Amino acid sequence: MKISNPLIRGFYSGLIAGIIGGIAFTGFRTLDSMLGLWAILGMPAVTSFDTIISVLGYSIGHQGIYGGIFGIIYFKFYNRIPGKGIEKGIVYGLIIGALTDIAYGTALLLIWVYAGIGQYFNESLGWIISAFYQWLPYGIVLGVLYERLK
Amino acid sequence: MKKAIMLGLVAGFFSGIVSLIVKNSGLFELFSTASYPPIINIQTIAKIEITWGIVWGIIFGMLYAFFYDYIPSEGVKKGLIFGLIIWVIVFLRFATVAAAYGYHLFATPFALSTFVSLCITYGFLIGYLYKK
Repeated sequence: MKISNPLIRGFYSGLIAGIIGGIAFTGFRTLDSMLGLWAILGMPAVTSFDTIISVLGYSIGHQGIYGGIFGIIYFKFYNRIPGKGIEKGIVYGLIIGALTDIAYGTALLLIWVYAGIGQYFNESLGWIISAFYQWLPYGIVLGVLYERLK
Repeated sequence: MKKAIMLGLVAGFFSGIVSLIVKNSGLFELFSTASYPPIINIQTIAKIEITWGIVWGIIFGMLYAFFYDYIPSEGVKKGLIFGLIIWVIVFLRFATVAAAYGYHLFATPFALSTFVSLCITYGFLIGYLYKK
């Protein structure tokens, strides 16, 4: 299947990449919880069927919608993003990860630095780790799909 | 790039100040029945807002310079469009995440107040100050 309009191609690639990114995030989050890594940060575990379904539904929903929007932005800046083919997608995914989850993590880290509330340090680490869980798979899938649908 | 870093720092500083004013002057409460979370005192909030504004202002400034030719329009309008794109990526998504977790009374005023501080203030300043 080929999509000639690059804007539509960016949207659909981003939408699918977002859904896969949401699934990957849930998978990593569940694995983390099972290994007890998330408990070190004092964050709620995702191990029961109910919590997994809840995280999956929410992740797929919001990642899909924003994945599509970010896919349109990807098309707009495509030529300027460094790398070739899939590399472009990975770089873009990491930029989005930095601008979203790492930016929130930084805000929480600053609360910890200035106010000394320990809970925020753990939460900030959680956000920063989450950035790689969802946006790296997103970037890879976006890069592959955008090239394949050309 | 050096110029973009400096201008990003300046725009980020003012964006942090506007964010502090909007969120703590009662304007935040205009948009919702929820008040801005009073977890810490105003001096600490000021430090957090301004430091975040400066650090990310520099990063946004670098991105602005890097993608300059690909952002539509010219001058101030270019800056406002860039501010809008950054606001959607950074804060609108965060507000959606917060709303999904049940903090919808916080999400709406947060999205609107950050629109003023990032999209309008930062976007206007970087567009006005940065010329290639």
